[in-house]
Amino acid sequence: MNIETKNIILILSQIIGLLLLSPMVNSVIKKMKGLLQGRKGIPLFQGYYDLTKYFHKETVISDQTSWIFSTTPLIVFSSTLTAGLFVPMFFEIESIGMFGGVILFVYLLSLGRFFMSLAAMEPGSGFCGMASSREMMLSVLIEPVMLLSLIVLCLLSNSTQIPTIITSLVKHDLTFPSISYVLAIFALFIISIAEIGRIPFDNQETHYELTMIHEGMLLEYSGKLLGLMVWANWLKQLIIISLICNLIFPWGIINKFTLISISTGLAFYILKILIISIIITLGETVIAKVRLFRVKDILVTSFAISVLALILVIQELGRVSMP
Amino acid sequence: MNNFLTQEFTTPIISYFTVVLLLMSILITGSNRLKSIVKFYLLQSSCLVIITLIIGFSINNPETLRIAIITLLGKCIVIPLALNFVIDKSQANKEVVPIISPSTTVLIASALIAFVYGLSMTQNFGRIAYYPGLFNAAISIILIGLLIMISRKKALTQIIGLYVMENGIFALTLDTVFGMPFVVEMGISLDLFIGVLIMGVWTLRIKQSFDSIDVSKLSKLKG
Amino acid sequence: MENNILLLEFSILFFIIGALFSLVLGLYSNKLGIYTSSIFAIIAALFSLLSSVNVLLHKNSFKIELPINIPLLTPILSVDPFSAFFIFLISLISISVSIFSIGYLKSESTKTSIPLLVFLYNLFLLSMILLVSANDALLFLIFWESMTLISYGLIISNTSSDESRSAGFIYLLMTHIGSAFLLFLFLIMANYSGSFSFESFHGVYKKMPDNLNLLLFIFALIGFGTKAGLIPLHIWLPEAHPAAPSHISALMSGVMIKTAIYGLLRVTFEFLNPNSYWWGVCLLLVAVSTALVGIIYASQENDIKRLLAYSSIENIGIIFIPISTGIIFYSLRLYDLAAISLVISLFHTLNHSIFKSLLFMASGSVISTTHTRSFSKLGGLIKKMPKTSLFFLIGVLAICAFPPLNGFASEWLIFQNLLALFNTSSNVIKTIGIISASLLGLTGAICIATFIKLFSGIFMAMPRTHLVEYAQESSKSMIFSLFISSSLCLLIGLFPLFTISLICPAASTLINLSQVNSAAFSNNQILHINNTVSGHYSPTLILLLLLSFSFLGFIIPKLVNNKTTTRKDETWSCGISPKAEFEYTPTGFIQPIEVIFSGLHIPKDFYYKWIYLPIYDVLNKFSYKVKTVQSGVVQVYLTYIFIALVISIIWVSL
Repeated sequence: MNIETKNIILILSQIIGLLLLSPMVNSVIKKMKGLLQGRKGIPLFQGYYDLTKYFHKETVISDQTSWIFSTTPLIVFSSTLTAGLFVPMFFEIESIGMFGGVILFVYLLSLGRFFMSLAAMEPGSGFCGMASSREMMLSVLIEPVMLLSLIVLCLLSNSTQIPTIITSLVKHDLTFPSISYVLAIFALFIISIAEIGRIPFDNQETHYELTMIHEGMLLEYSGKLLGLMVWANWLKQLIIISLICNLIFPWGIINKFTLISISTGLAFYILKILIISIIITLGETVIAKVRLFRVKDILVTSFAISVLALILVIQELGRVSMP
Repeated sequence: MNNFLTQEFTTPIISYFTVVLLLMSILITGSNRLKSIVKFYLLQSSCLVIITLIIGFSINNPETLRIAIITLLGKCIVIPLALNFVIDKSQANKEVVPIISPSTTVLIASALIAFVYGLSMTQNFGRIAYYPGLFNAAISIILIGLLIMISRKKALTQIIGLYVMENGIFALTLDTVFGMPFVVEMGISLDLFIGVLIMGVWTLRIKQSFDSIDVSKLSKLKG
Repeated sequence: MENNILLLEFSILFFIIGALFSLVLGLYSNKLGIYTSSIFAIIAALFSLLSSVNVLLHKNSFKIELPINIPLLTPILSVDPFSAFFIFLISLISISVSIFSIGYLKSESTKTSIPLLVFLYNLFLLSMILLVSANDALLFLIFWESMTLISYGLIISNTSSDESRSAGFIYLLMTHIGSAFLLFLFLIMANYSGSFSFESFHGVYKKMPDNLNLLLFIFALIGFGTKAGLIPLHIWLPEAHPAAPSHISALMSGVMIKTAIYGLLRVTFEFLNPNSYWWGVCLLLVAVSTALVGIIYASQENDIKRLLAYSSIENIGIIFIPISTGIIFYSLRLYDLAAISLVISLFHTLNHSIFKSLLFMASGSVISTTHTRSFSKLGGLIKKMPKTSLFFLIGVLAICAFPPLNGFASEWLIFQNLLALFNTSSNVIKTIGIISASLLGLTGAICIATFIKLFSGIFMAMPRTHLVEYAQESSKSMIFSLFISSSLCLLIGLFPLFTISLICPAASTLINLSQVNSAAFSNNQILHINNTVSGHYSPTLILLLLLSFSFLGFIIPKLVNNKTTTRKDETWSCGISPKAEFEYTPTGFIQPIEVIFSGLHIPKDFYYKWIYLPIYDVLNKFSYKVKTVQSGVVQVYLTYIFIALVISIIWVSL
């Protein structure tokens, strides 16, 4: 099998994997949260049921809207999925480095966010507008910190490609993972929680329009369009969780494809996702959502942490290169 | 003296705890709940204790062990408990009223750290230190402690700033002369402890007189 | 070679003929004047475009001797690849703006005096082309002044409004302060080189002391920075750009402020010697704060053109980022990296020219049909102006730097460029470089919010006032020029390497120690910079992926169920029928960001109060002191002359 066919197969399996796994991960988090709160929780396949239900429903859209509103779900879906290609699940795709690195990753995510916010302004509903405005406020705070913490990781491995960052982590001496790396991951973790819109930044399960951020932007969507938007959101969640879990536990990314390595890689990947999901669930259960303008303090603190990480990176790398 | 805790071995471990020290001071500046500030302070002090122990073992100095125990008692148990007591009494948990907003303070704090690490490139800076990383962190923490005292209005947060500063000074002495002489350390701890008592009483009195623990209200006392 | 000379001469000739003809014909009939001016401008711009592309492709240069004879002045135009790049930029933008102006001026003809406007329009374009090809300091200053004066005329051409006049005054004042610094700069350099020609200025720094080198750099920075709009020298820009007619604003924002970049780069890298990296570090701080403060101001605006003007300030800041990294690399003797930085900065200059002129033109269409610049009064225009809104959206996507458009290509390169600072040995540069990258991300994020505010305010939801009712789609020529600009955005975005290969000779002319070519930017035809924290970006692949995944998103629901229906109904607003009053206003939209950055939002009179007024006061006091010399008695003046004579006699005899 030549490299190109192999790469195409890998890319296709990454796409299929992301599409299929993302509803499940969301359901798992919800289920665990339910169990922790003493409820039974939703069935594990609820995500798939929801999607099929959305795709069967009639689509009602506002009469104030234009083509932007109805194409936005496609753009959000595709930009998220494209961003998803840069983050390895449990196998390495060699050619992926050729499309772009972390900067492209961040900007692709923000492309989706741009269209989501823009489309939310379109029906002229107060709730959508408010959600869109708040989403923009969050994104203004998220983007620089996300870039900074990712760039610190890039500097450590001298590459802007996420797969390379992860594999170079494994190659290093792991008895003492560098402290700046730990700090950068810590900052990135806080930011990721904000990026996937979970407590303490945004509550995905709220039913009260005035507290909605992400959900609020979807208020005017229905049917297929809503289905795609929801799916794109789950995709983003899975991508971010994969990013975090592969950075925290950089082992188990396979590049040789035998039956055994694939199955152990997959099992390990699922285990990693489960650990991160448990952390997120615990956080959601224990911590309360903070006031909107307090979000700034948390995100700025994580900015400061990434600056600290940067300073330490400079110290460490400087010391290594000095004769 | 043969010791398994050589400097090559301890340096990375100490650098971890050093960063935790810095991290905690950043979190203290960024937080606006007094209770969580006390928790961060507790963590910072525990790190200091661990660092003290490591340094103590590496240079085989029984004196440091004693210092470590005293610090553990004072900074990790008595002071947090006392602070929590005062917070409960004055019901001031959420009242970190800042003069400069927490996020700006955090930014200034990180700029301070960058500044100190930048200075550490110069020749004379940190020359006497045993672990340069710890020295930089200690100086940064002293400055951040001062910053907290400058930027907050409430008496309680100001005294926490003082404690953070004292932690920095402690780390500094630890790094340069392997811990203060026992008597000095005792004296300082006692001072601080009396400080918290006085502050506690003071805070409660201010609260009784002004219905708030805002220090800026004290300017009314001026003639 | 011969062709190039002929082409440029033809272009100059056509501009002049166009100006005169359109003035004469414009006095006879407005419509005729507009057509003549635009058609002549388009032809002339095509000529100069061809000539400049020729120069850039073959990396040669040529000279034209002007048939004028002025003492002290060598009237020679010289076009080397660096000048050619700017001629290319000016011609490219002026073609689409000229096409736009046909339709635009017809609808504006009641408000402005057309003959004057069309006359000045051609001269304005000509003066810019002559400016970037001048080969003599005095000639340069003459064209610089004429560009300023002509644009002043264009700003105040909006005869009906007082705003234009006061904006024109501030513009004139500020740019003349800048010009004064430039005059000093060139005089001092001429003093050391012995001549005013640019060739003699090459390497003039070798003859002067180091401190003077730095002083001249600061002079150049103030002189050109005023024109470019660096903070705090930007105060004229948000006043002047909106006051001019929209196609002129497009030219001013798109092209005119870029001539300052031309001047600064030429002076810094050819004549002076950036010998300390602190120049670059300080400039980087200025650049980043210009970008950040500019976009924060932009986000607060409710006037379409002022918002765009502030966003120009932001982009000038972004253009200055790679310039300052270039200075840093140059001072560290990393000439290849310096040349790469300059290419990136020129690339962003080009991109900004294209999308900013596109946005100004598109907003010109909106303003001329709704007669208001305040977009909080608009709304719902997407239904009345579907084509304009589409092109506006493309402009917005480009300026917000979204892949795969051109804005992202250059912004991505700027990020890579900042990361390259990590390869230097100084910790200060490393820290500042990386934090600047993060702040650039912050700027980008605020930019996104700002342009969502702008676009949704103009085009989306329900009309907020009756102004929208009579709006209609703009004329064909306007749509066509918007189409040209937006396809340029897309094409440059998709094939950045071709454009970069055009820019590379320009940068290597400037830094002749390095022969940079597009190979430095590519790895197997994919955008990539060597010698940095490695990274690749392939716009075509990204577009392909986006399109195919969109198709996937389209087809999956169809596969699940093909029979669902789509229905339109009114927006849900808690059971009441929706009204425009329920909408989130643009001001409301940006309010959370305003609250967050209230600390960074410097009040606008700050600059007047703390920078300009103190200087003014000092000057004023000084003038009062000098005033005593003016006694008004004839004999005293005669005494002055007498003393001057005696002193000069002594001076000469010594």
